[in-house]
Amino acid sequence: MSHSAPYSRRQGDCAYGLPGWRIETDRTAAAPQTGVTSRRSPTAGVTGGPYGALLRRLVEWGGERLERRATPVSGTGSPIDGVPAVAAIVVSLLVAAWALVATLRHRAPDRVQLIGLAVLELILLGLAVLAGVALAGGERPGEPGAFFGYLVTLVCLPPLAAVLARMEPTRWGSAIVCAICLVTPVVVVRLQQTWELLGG
Amino acid sequence: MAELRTARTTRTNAGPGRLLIAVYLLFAIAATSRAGLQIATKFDEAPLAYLLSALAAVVYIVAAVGLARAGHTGRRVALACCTVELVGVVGIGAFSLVRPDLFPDETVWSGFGSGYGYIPLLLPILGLAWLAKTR
Repeated sequence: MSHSAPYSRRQGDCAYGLPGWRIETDRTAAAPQTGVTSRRSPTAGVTGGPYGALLRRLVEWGGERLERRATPVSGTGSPIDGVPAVAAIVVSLLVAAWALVATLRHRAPDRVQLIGLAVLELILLGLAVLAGVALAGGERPGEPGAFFGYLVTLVCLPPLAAVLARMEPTRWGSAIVCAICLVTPVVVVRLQQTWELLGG
Repeated sequence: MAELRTARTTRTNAGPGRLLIAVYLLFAIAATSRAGLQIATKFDEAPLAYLLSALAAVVYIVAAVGLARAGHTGRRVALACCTVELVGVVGIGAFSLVRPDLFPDETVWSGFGSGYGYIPLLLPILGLAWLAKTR
């Protein structure tokens, strides 16, 4: 044992990853300190990239809903936050999932996809109207130029998907719908961010 | 015979190609509006980054048109654009890591397109692969 123990332990370090051990002990040691911020931990590992922001957004939104339920506040927040924005994101992701299934099944864009795009477009137009109402009421986005750029782009995305899908009545048309419906939620989140910069 | 040849050589705008064109369109819109806004409102902050954003925008537009137009010229245009893109995204990606001081603000291509889910890095590769496949 006296001969082989150091060697085998070193081998074990390489094979089983002593760093893993160390992280484990660090985590248990740090857990009491980060107890306050642990509410954000579900998204801690995936907060990078466009979908990280989306995920963070949804978690924050859920938290805000819970808080709002506890203490009712008058609506002074961003006009493009809340139910319509989340509905847009959810509908968009649902259409994307449906279109992905169609792509994998070698199916051309079907009526469900087109209806989904229409519903999405209606929600997005609703968002635009909400933003317009807020602007008429004197509120201003944090980055006006970027905000209007994103808003115009956003409203154009579902029609673009529909037109391209009609041009390509193969599985690749469904793939186009899927791709554009994956981009839409990201644009919604960016839209919200460009509204908030000033107010926050 | 001749028909077969033209059919085989003009198919960059159908099937998966159409998906590629759609994604190129999205990036053309994103890069154009971003570069336009940055150049119009705060050009002095990071002129190099914003000019590169504008260059990327132009390349995406021309590549989308080249793929959509499909013919012999369109193919060559698309080939040139995809090459420029690949060189640009790799070069600027590396450069933005080595000399971040030159890029105080992000371009579409900094960090190998990390701000856009690395799709800018993937697009030219897919574009070149698609051009090779349809030749």
